[in-house]
Amino acid sequence: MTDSSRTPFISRTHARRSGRFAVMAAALLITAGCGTSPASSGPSTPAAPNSTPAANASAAPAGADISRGVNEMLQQVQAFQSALQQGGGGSLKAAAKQLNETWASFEDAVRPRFPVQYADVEKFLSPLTAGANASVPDAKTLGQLAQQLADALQRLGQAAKDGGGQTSGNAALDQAADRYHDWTVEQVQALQRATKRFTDAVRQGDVAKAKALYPQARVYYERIEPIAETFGDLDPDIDAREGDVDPTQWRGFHRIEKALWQTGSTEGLTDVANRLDADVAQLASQIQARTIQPGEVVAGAVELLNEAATTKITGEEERYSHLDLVDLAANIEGSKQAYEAIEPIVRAQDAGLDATVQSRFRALDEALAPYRSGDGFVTYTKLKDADTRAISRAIQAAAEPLAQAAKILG
Amino acid sequence: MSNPTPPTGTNPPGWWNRRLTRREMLRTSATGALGLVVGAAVSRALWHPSPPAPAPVMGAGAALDRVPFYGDNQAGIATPQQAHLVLAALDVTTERVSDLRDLLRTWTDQAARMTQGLQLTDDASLAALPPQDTGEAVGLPASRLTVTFGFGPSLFELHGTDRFGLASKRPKALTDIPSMPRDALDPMWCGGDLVVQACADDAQVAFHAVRNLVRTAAGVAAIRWLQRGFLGMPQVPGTMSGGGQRTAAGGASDSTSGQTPRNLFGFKDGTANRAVLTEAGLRQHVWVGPNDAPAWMRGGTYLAIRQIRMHLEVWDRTSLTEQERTFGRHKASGAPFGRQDEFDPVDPAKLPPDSHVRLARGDGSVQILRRGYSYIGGLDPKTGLYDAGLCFLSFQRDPERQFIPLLRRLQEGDLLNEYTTHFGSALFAIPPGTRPGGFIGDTLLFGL
Repeated sequence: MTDSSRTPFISRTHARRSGRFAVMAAALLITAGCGTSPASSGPSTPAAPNSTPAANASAAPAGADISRGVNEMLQQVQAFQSALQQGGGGSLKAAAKQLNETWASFEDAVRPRFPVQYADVEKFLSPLTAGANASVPDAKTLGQLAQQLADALQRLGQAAKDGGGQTSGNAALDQAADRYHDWTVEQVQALQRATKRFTDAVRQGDVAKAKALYPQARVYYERIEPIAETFGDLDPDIDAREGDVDPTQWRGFHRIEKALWQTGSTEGLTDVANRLDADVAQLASQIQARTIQPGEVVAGAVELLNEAATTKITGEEERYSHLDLVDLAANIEGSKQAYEAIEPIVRAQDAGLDATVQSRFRALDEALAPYRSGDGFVTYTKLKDADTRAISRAIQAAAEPLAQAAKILG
Repeated sequence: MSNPTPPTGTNPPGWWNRRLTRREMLRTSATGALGLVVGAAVSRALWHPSPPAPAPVMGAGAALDRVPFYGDNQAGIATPQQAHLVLAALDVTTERVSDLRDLLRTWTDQAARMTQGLQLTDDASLAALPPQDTGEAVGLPASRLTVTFGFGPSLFELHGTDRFGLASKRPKALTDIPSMPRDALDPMWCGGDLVVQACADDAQVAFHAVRNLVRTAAGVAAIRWLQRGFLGMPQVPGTMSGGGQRTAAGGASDSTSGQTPRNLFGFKDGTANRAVLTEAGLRQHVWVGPNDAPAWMRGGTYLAIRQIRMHLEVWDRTSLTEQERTFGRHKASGAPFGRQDEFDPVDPAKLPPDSHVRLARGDGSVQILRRGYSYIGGLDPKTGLYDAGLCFLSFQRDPERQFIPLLRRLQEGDLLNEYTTHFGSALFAIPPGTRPGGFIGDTLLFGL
């Protein structure tokens, strides 16, 4: 609860625009820390926000103390749930207050050692507290939050038991990678649905509709590009640009893009549309089946900005539709999301670096803002050299510190 | 671009325009460190008018290609000219003056290391991280690398906005160079909030310095334009092999010939520097003096930059007579019209009134320190003609009094204009040098 000044840097407009809760859920991760925390009267209130993990670790109680705190909170969650069933009121507020007091008594021991689990607990505890203190508590939401908080506490308890209080981030890193994997699975499933809507329009011969649906599908691919690129031919099959592959082998999004924007016809595209669906389906099942290593998350975050800084800002990617800024923004969203997964670990190790990365991401959003248009962006052809230079600079400024986040890998 | 005046003072002829030998450079730093006077040429060392900060202790030979970074003035100005230039202008992208101050502090530490032939860090890099130093200078000697920093007018005020609370500190003389007749300026090649000049006898060492400094600046400042230059160092036959002024550690660019380098038109360029490159000349013409305003600039200077394309193909179809008439000098010897030797005093009456040297000289009272480099940028894509010319650099104490009138005279009437196009322009305040623990620009930014 030392981060109440932090603001979400995953843009909510993005989430609304894409109509996907996944991004919204990620935003919640960050906003969670902004909730009210009335527990500051507890016996051991948080230490100075800038105290180093090492200092915390040396003064912190052993893993057993964390387990004790977790168990106490789990009982308090039960008390909270009973209060909820009995109609809330004063006992609900009291239960929430107790939870916060207990958490405040040992959260400083948790944060440096189990940053992911720490963020997890915070994510649910803060809205739960706020909700319990609302004039008309929302019983259904509070019930869910209580269950989620209990689950998060269980995970923390397990980590404390496994980790024995070590400061190593290995377990935390693995969990971060798992979380990022969950997100990529959501994205690729959304890609499958959006691609189907797009290819349906192509098969129906509705050029205008297909053109409108094209960027909606592209976004999901561009967000997870580094992972999609790990499956041999699947990336070129789906995303090759003209000239990237043998002309007779050329298929995927850009082949259809060229037909839609250059010839304005869907003639002969049914096969290409069918194969695109099949390729994307295969991508989805492969992403689901594989695991993601922590190193891939870190590298992926940087890679996505590199993609944006090279093929997107030059207008090469969407050479017929000129929707390059849509792809570029999606690359940036994907990069943020990957960073989001490791952010608690980075913050615990180097709060200054984390603050820099987040402020550079915000500056990048601001640099892109002038080019937003409706639900999307202006076409690349409208950009002048000074515009692409300004965006490029903002990407560079974010990518440099982001590359330093790899320090969490040791 | 040459402007001879009679040598002043009683110095032995020839010493002032000779590049310091490696041995002399070693002795010079010893002089500074120990307070000894070793000899006339050394005690009058032109490139360090006051005793330099003690140089790091190092083996004999090692110091030969290291120019001290710390001192009253920044290096890379009165330093004997190195063979290569990498020059970058940057735009400050932060809104916080503290970011700017921190950047200058980091830059200073990094430049101090690199000029002494060190990597950015002694620490081994983590395998998971991008290396802190980009690495292309590993194994290369320091190559007399100098790094010089400066501030552009837009840092103090941009479109009427006092961006960093520095507007009241802007030196009066620090404004954009006013537009001139025949200007063909490209905004992408003009101005900049900050300038970094890296000079070295090895092009890769110079680029390494700029590249790492620009990388460090990410999020605080972004590169605006970049120019690369070179200078052919004439050699006197015989001095390359075992001449008395050579040392075992000598490198290829250790010119001791005292000859003036030539520009891409084949003419000697920089002849007039001999009068400026004395302790008295530097004090009078280059360094902002102890009573000059603003106080934070004392010991600093101003850098004027003009990017000048030279139309080589046209020039090469011009007769020798016309070429020489254009400059007002003989091509082979460099002697002014009516004289025998390059360094003979110019007789203005003998020069065509619109020749380059005649106009550059004016009435002979105003001097600047020229430190330009030739550049080759490839081909003009439209014409297939060379994109090549001069990255003109000059240092002066008061650009309003020295450089601007000179430039105006040339731009208005110089015969050379027929063969050149000015496409870039910038003026920077070069703050004084600093001492270990301080940072370049601290006289302006300390405490902000």
